[in-house]
Amino acid sequence: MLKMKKLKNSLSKYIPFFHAGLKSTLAYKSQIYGWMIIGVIEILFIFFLYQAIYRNAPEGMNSVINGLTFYEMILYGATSFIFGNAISSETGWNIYVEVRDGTVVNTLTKPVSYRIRHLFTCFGQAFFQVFFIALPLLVILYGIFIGCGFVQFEPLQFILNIVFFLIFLLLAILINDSIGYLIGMLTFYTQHMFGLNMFISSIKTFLSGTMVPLSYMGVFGVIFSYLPFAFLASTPILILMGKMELLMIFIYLTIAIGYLILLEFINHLLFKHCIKKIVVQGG
Amino acid sequence: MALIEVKNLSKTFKKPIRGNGLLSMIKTLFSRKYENIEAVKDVSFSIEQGEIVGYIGANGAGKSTTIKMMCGILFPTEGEIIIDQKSVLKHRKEINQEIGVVFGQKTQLWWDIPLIETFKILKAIYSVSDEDYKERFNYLSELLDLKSFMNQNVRSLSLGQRMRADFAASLIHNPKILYLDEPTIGLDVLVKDKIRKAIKELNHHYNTTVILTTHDMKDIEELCNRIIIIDKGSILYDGNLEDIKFQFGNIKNIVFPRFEGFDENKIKEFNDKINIEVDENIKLSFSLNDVNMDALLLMLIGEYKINDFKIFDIGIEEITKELYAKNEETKK
Repeated sequence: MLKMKKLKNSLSKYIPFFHAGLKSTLAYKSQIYGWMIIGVIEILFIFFLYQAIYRNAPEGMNSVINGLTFYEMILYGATSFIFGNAISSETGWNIYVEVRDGTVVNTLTKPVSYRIRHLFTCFGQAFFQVFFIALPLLVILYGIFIGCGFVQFEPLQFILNIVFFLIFLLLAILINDSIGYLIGMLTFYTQHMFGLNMFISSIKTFLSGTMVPLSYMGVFGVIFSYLPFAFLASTPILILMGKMELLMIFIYLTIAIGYLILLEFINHLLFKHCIKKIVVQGG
Repeated sequence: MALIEVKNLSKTFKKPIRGNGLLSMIKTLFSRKYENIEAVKDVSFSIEQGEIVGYIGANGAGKSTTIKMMCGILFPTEGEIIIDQKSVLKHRKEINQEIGVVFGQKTQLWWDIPLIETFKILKAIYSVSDEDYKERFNYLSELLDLKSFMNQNVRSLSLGQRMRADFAASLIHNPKILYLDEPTIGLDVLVKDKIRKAIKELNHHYNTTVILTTHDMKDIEELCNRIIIIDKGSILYDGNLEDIKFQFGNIKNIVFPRFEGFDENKIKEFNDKINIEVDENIKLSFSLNDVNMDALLLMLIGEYKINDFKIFDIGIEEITKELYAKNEETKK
C-alpha cells in the first residue's frame, strides 16, 4: 500500500509532461490541417495505384492479391496512414533539439527521470493523435467501407479485433517512442539528426509495411513481420482487418513485449553512457 | 561544514582535430585524430550557505564547465563535488531537488505553452506544496513583474521577459543553491537592474546561496562579496572583492572631459606614476601609495580650472585584466 502511494507520488511528477505534450501538439493546429490534406492526396494515390494493379490482374478488380482484395488494399493503405500519425513520436527530435541547443542542461538539472519525462510527453501527444484524430477517422473509414459493403466482418470477431488492435496500438506507440529515444540518444554522439532521421524513417516505412504490405514481399515479408518495425503498421492493421489467427496474435504480442523490454534496456545502457560523454553545445 | 565543497576538480575534453580545406575534411572521414583540452585544472574551493560568489573569467576560461559539473550535468575527469555533504555524482537526482539553475542562453521554459504552465509543471516536478507554491509564485511574480505576461506563450515573450521568467522558474522550489550562468547576457540596463535587485532580495529573503558567472562586472560589483577568478581552467584569485582592490594598491581613477590645451607632460611632471588615457574623456589612474590625490586634485582645479570630474575606485574589470596579464608574464 505504501509502495503504491510512493509510486503514485513519483508518477504524478510526470503528469505535467503529459499535459505539455498534449498542449504542444495542440499549439500547432496548422500541422493537423496539413496532415489531413496530405492524407487525402496519399489515399487518392493509393487508390489509383492499386486500381491500376488490380485492373491488370487476371481476375480484374475482383482479384485477391497476396490475400487482399482491392477494397481491403485501399482500407489497408488508409488505415496505415492514419495509424502512422497516431503513433508518431517527437521524442527523438525533442532530444536532438535539446542536444543541439544545449538546453539538455536544463532537463538534466531537474529531479526527474529523463526517459520517463520523454515517455509522458509522448503519451500527451499520442493522446490527442489517437483520441481526437485517429480513432474518429478510423470509425468513419470502417463505417463507410462496411456500410457500402466493400468489406465484411463478423460482429463478434470484429469487436475482438478492435480489442487486440488497441493493445497493439499502445505497444506500437511504446515501441516507436523507444526507437525515437534511441535515435535521440545517438544524437549525443553525432550532434546531427538529419541523416539518422532519414535512415530510420526509410527503414520504418519499408519494414513496417506502411508503403507496401509485407505480404507483397514474399519470404522477406515473413522475416520482416518478426522485426520490431512490423508492429508499427503491418501487424496491428492486419489484426484490425481480421487477417490474423488468434495464435499468431499471441505470438506477436509476446514478441512485441520482448522487443519493447530489449529496446528499453538498450536505451537505459545508452543513457548511462551518454551522460558521461555529454558535451554541452554553445558553452 | 561548507554547503558546497569542490575538491581538486578537473575536466578534460577530447576534441577532434580538424584541418582546413576539403582534403583535410575528407581525411577525417577515414582517420580522425584527437587532442585533449583541459577545461578545468585542479580547482578547489568551498562556499558557505547564504554567500553570493562571483565566478569570473574570460570566454573559455572554464567557468561554465565548472558550474555544469557542480550541477551534475558534466562528469569531472578528476576530483569531486560535495553539496550538503552528498556527492553530486552519486546523488544527482536528490541534489537536483536542492538547486536552481539559470543558463542565460538556454531557457528552461516550455516554448509552446503559456508561461504559467511552466510554473505548474515545475511545481509538480519539485513536489512543491500548494501553500508554498502560492506564496513563492506571488512573491516572485511581484518581485520580477511577471503578471502582465503570465498567460502568454513563452515563444512570444521578449528576451527580458523570458529571462525574468527563467529566473523565477529556477526559484519556485526555493532551492538552497542558485547557479546563475550569465543571467544578464543580452539584457537592457533596466532588466539587468531588476534581476540584480531580485538576486539581492532573494539572498536576503531565503538565504539562498548564489554562484554567479558573468562578463558584466557591474553584476559582480553590485552583488558579490566574494569572487573567484579563473583563467585557462585554474583559479587565479579566490577572496573578498575589497581585499583584491586593496591588494591592487588602492587604485583610484579621476575622469574629466577632454579639453583644448591639456598637457600630459604637466601631469607627468607632477608625478610620473600617473597613468593617462585620452579619448573622449581624460582618465588618470594611480595608486594612493604613490600619488597624493589631494595635491593632484588641487593642481587639476587650480591649473586647468576643472570643476566637472568623477573619482572612482579601480573596477573589477581592470583587476581581472591585470591578473590575467600577471599570469601570462609568470608563465613566460
